[in-house]
Amino acid sequence: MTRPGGEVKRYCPVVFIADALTFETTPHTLLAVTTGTLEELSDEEYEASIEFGREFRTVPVGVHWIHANLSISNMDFQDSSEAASGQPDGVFRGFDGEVLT
Amino acid sequence: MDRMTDPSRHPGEAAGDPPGARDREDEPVLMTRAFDELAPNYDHAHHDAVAAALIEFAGPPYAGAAVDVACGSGAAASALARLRAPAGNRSAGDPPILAVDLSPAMVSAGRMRAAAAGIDAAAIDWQVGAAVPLPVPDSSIDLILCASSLHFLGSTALGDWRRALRPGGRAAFSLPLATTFRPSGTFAELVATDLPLPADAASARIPALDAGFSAARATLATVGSRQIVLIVADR
Repeated sequence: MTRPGGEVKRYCPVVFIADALTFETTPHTLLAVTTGTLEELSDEEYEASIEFGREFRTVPVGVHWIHANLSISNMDFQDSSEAASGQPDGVFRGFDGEVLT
Repeated sequence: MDRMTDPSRHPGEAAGDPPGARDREDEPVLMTRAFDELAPNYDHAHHDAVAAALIEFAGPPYAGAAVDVACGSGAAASALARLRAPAGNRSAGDPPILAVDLSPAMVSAGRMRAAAAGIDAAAIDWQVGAAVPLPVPDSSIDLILCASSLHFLGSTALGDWRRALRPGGRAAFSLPLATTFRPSGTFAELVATDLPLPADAASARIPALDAGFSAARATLATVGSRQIVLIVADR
């Protein structure tokens, strides 16, 4: 067993980037990129985390949703990237029944 | 540079503190703020799934006095209420399920979700307040549910649950696995320091047994992409 509170890491699981596409297209979307690496994840976890890619695009309001639920560690990056991959345009808009606009 | 402008510091750290230091007296304030801010973006589907798995693992009986501890948006309380009275009416003979949480925004979200689900308003007694100690008399509760929250409450909660439960009562709770739990930002700071997270189901029973519960059983459950541990401890 490990003590989670014994060390507090300044961990940032995802970064959001406004790139050229953000400004060139509407609706404006941001790029969400995982910061997970093989150094901090097991091989199995890493492979799972990038199953749907290391990045995906999200509607702006999705930033809050993704960041909040990764911060509390209820979900993993691939939960969001999988949801994005299920959209025709590959843009994250929430999960079933919780459509973000 | 104060903590408002120093990105290396977190809320609750004073300017002279080493990074990571935090006044524990600030914790309820920080906890309330963090979960209030989380409420509009909460992953309700995840918590509904955890609650359903937890209640199924606990198994019957579901009657009697019950509490949803640190209820968040009340997924466990609502699931139990639906189980007791699938038609939405309050089950006869059972007192309202006490659902208590520090965060007013979470409790408000829970109240609205329960109403939207057609659950009788009298079936759940929503309360904003500290979950430890529970606002209940000694030996008065039959079933305690705590989904995805004990790792923020710490081991003191287990002792309080034992106080609150009647002999024969049960506490059903979930914990994240140590290997996959990676909170960040404020939530990382709020994780209890005195409760070891389990590496597997077998070790997940230990804190409950150490707290004086007579027996405990645990199992792994998969929710979304995550494995969590479900534990049921007998008073």
